[in-house]
Amino acid sequence: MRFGRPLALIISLGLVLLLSNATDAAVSESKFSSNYPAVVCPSTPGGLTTAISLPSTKSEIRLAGTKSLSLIPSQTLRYMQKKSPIVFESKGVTPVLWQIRKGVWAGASICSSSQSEQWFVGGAADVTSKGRLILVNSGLSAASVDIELWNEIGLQPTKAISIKANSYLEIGVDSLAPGSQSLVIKTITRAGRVTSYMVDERGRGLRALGGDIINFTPNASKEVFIPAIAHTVRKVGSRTVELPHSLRVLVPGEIDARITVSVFSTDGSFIPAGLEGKIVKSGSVATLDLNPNLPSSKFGIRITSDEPIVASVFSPTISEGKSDFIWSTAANELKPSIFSVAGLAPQLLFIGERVKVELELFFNGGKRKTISVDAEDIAAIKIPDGVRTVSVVKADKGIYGAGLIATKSGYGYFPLSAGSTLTKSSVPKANIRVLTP
Amino acid sequence: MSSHRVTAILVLHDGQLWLPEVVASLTSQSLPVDSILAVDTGSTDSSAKLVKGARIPVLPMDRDTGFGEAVAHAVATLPISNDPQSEWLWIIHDDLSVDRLALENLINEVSSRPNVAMAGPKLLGWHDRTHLLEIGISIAANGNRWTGLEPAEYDQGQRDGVHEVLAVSTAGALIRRDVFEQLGGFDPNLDLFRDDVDFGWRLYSAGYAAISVSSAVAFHAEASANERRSVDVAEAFLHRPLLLDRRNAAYVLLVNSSWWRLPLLTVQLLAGSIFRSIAYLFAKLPGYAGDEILAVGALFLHPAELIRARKIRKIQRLVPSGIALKFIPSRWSQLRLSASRSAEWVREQLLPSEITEVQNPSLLDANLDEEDLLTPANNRNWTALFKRPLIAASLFLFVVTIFWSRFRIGSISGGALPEQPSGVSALWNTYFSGWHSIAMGTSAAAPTWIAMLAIAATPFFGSVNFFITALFFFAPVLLALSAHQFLKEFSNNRWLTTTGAVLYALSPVAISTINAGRLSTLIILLLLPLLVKATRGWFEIEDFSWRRIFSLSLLVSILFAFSPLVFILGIALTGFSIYRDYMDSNRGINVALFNARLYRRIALTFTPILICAPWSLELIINPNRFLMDSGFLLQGGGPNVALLGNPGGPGSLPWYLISPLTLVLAISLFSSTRARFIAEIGFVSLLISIFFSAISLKGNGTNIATQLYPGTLMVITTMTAIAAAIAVSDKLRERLKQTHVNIRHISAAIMLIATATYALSSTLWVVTTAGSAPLQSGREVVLPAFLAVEKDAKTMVIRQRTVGDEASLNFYLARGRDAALGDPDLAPPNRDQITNAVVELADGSGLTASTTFALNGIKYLFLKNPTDENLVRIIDGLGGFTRASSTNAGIVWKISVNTGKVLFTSLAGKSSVLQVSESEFEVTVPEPGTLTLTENYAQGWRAMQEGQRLKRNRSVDNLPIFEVTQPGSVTFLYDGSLRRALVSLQTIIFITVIVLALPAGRRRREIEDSELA
Repeated sequence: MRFGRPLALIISLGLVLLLSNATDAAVSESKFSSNYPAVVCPSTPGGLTTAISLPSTKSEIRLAGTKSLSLIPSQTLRYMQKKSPIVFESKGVTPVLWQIRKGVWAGASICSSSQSEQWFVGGAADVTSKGRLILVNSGLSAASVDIELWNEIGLQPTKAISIKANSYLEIGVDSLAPGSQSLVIKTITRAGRVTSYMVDERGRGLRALGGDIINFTPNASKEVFIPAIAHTVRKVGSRTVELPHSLRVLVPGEIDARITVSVFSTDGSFIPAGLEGKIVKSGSVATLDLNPNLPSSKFGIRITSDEPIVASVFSPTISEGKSDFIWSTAANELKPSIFSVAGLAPQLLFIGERVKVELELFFNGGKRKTISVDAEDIAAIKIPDGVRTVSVVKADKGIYGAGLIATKSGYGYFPLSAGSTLTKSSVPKANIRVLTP
Repeated sequence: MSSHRVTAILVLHDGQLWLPEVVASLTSQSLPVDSILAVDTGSTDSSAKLVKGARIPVLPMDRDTGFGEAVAHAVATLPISNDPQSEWLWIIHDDLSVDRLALENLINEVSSRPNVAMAGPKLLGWHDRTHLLEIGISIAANGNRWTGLEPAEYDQGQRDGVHEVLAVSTAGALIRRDVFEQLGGFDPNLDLFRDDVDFGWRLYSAGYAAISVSSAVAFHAEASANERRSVDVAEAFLHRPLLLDRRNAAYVLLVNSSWWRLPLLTVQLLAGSIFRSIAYLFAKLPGYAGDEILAVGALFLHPAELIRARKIRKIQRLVPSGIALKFIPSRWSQLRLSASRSAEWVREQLLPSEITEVQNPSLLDANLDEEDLLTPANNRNWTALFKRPLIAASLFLFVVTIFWSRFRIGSISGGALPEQPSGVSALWNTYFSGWHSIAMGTSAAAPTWIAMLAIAATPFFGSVNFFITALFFFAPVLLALSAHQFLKEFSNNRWLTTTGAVLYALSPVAISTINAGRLSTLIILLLLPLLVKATRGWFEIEDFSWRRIFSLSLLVSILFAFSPLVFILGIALTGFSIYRDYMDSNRGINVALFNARLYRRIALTFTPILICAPWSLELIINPNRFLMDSGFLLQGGGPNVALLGNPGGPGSLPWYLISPLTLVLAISLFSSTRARFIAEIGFVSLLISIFFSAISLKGNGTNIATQLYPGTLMVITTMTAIAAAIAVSDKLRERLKQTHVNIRHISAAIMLIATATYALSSTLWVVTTAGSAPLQSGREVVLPAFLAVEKDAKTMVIRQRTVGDEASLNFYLARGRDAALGDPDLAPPNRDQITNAVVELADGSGLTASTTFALNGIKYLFLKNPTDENLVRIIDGLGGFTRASSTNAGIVWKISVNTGKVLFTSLAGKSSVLQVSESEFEVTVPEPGTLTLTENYAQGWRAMQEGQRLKRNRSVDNLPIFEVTQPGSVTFLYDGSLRRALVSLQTIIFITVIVLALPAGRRRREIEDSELA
């Protein structure tokens, strides 16, 4: 047969290849384990009251700084924290914390898992300052944290702090950089499982000037989105006067940054005068006026820069006739996540070129409601009372969100950034090759 | 007219074969001998009759009379001399023929040298009269007879002249009679052999000298030494000349040397005897081996004889005996001679003398000039060397290697090759040890290739690093040389075979092997061509001698030790061959033929299993390991890449640099020449390679299923493809020229283009990507130095490894060092308890991980950089781990729970760590309780207290625990007796096979006269 041999050749090769490729299945057998790390809510400094919104009454918590390491059910949706920070088995839900000095000021924050770096853009260490930096070591080994600090002059000497296992520290901000009016603090966890928080509280003598919790930003970046800035007015006689905002910016690198601030509001997007191509000196904290002159009560901003920056917006507020302030900080890009907002009824704001978000509200009674948001530049949604959790089910790219809470005690702000993200780690396997370069 | 008077003393002992010429030469001297006297020591042949027939008086003596005694007897019958200083004795053996001018020249030289009392001629061979036997003699410190000559040295007058020497042979020695009598003649204790050296030594001690005179020539048959006649002297126990020679050599040294040299001499003689007897055993000459030992033994058993002889010498001595030391060759001279002989032998084996082209110009050649006949026919200069294909190819490959391996100068590691210990002693330790401290420890048998590597590295100053580096560096050249040995069987066109050899050295499997440090495959690449060449005629194996079978077994053993897959292939080939033999032998009717083949095949296939036992027996228990090579389990490229003749994996050529191997095999399958058969083998091998590449296995210290590397199979594919290509291409040009353009022309063109493209692209690739090859020198170590300070401390190492695009977290337990050569092959499977602790550590749930680590004696946790921040946070947060350091290398945590090598639990349940003493594996137990050794459980673990063995149990964690009933010190040891016994058995088998494989030595009586001289 003339073609017998070539045919046999091709068939045998083909068969072996087919069989081999069918057998070749065991190669990629890497296994991964995924979990949500526990989140930590900060301690409650003296005189303050803290309520933590939890997704379920069965949510498991434990108190940091106590001997007991066992997790117990919270038995409530609003956990009234006494003193010690709590460690919460998040399972993907980010609790929102509401802290007030009753009748004086209020602030909100997300509870977060341990972080290697946290930027706190806000606060002061002058004579008015009563602020605190709270470092919680939820781990069972001693931790060490470096605190880097910038003020209007520049970078201050780094402070190294060690924290005992399963404990926390509250450090007065005024002790870190006495006299500083504009602060940016960066905490770097060198060892241990540490989550940091910052409370900015001010008063002059017995007169309270307000306070807020400054939410953290995980890193400096060239594009910063601050989605929700409370824009309040003050009545001066018969007319209303918009309260001014100030933008605090730090360029931590060595090269000056050229920044442009864009405002997203229901009245459209625009760049306020003087904030296009503005040069910000590196190494020291800069404060820029931000007076967009808007009729609307809320807006968001985007800051673009040619160098990595961190930024936040300081907004004075008037609530029940009392002065307060709020720090609106940068938010991460919106990702599917769940926020526990029981008892807070926040107003959520989303900014982006095109805001397209799908939310699911989970009510106390077990009812669920899906909300689809589709808007340009900015969208605001008021979460009704009785909502236990808000789930971001779907979000397009380039959308950022934050929540604003207004109560009698004051305003609070929290970014819609997941405090606990799914961590995927490969299941380790024994392999002696680790012992060779 | 000479004033000297010469009496020739002819000693007879069964010498009728030589005597006619001997007598004729004596009687025809240009300076006539004054008198001739013969002494017959009981010859059983017609020696005495022959001599008497020549009118020479014969003194009869007993058959067991020694040579010296016979001469002394003859001298005693001589009349008293009036002028003793002018009377000379000329000692003539019955197998010595003297040249006509011998005596005259000897007398001439001694006449002008009054201190000379002994002179001897230049001794040439009896049969080959150009063979220089002796021109003066001495004795080496090890007792060897020292002539200072090359073996079978051709006499061209290069040693001519009159030289002062320690002694001359008694054959033809001219000795002054008065000195002979003064010294008491030859030592009666030396019946035969070495009496000459002894006499010379005594001569010098008495203030005289000896000379050799080259103008005096004699031809010696050396009948006794060459076992041409029996040695019947009284001292010749068992009539063995070698025994007598060695005994006498030792005697001469011991009685003549200064007393302070005796201890060293004794050691030298004993050691020399042992070494020589071992060598004789290897040469399958047990009789000679026995002679060596008996000779020295017999002498040391009679010390009184030595003492008496030394006393006599002391009396006769005028000058210290050290005067003769200048004639005793230095050890350097002996070494130099041995080295020169060895080098010559190696050169002869590697580069056998080629018959140079003989130009035979015809006388009819019109251009022939008469002067042409005067110029040497061979006028090649050294540049012609570079035109020889193999040398040119080797040079080319060497240049390529310089660029290719430029990052592999120095200690190399990476890929499949772990770090190597610096010296062979470490390899031997690993090999002989019954317990290996790898991870939690193992009693697995060390692979045989470790011992082979140790043997191979020994000539490289015992440096394993040096050997491995040199092996990988010169691998391309060595591969080409090895392949050429195989390929030259397929064509006489050396340019063609050399090109094939170069392609072999640059084949995908060779590149992958060298770049990835695959030692096993490299050995296969080097030795398989030689094995295939050596097994030529495999199907007619009955023609193979048993010696050849065992030689081949040794070669197969090496291949098997490095790549156990060879055994599987061998079994398959043997099975097929036995079936073929059965058919060949008329279905078993020709039993003799069938059995002859069967026994040889079985011996060849199973001897390697025996040589490599006990390691090979462990393979049988765990057959997966037959498929794995030595070293780290490094993945191959999978079946699709294998189809292209490329084994793939780290360091291998990218798939798009397609080698022509598959194409060549495909084309050759349609050949009508023998290339087709070769290609069929190659094709089957390729198909198996493809399938083999798809298999994933765990082992060699990893529980990650890893795609197998088809190195061994791909070597076969490569060899056969190149051989087929050569067989097809041989004389192809002539064949193609004779035909019109057809499919053959097209196939040849395609093959040529594909080969040229591949050769060029692969060469460029290896040269340009040398820096990214896994095998490199000067790599940093994994474990920080401070973790290696505490000897044998256990450190759990966790690091991220990326294989392809996939990053995974891997871990292993280190024992104070990185993985070393042999460790992957011995690495025990990881214990589930520890694995679970690490897994829980990684996912953050491992609250008890540190306790588990402590229980197993793990002191440190090391997270190698680049670290996973999340994992760092988890470990920091889990508790039980205290940060010890954070450096560029990574982060180290100390396990908070106190732990160590030996844990003690009191009867009350209180646990503590016991301090192990630095010198010995010993602890002090404070009270009765239980001792836990943090090593894997094995039968060999022992704990001894006051000479008593403590009761051993296995804990639930698979650790050995010992019950202690009283306080005191407890010593731990691993009893490796079984391992030692098995290794001893293996050594015996190995030596036996070597002895069987070596060529048998010949007794001197079996050697042809023409070969001797």
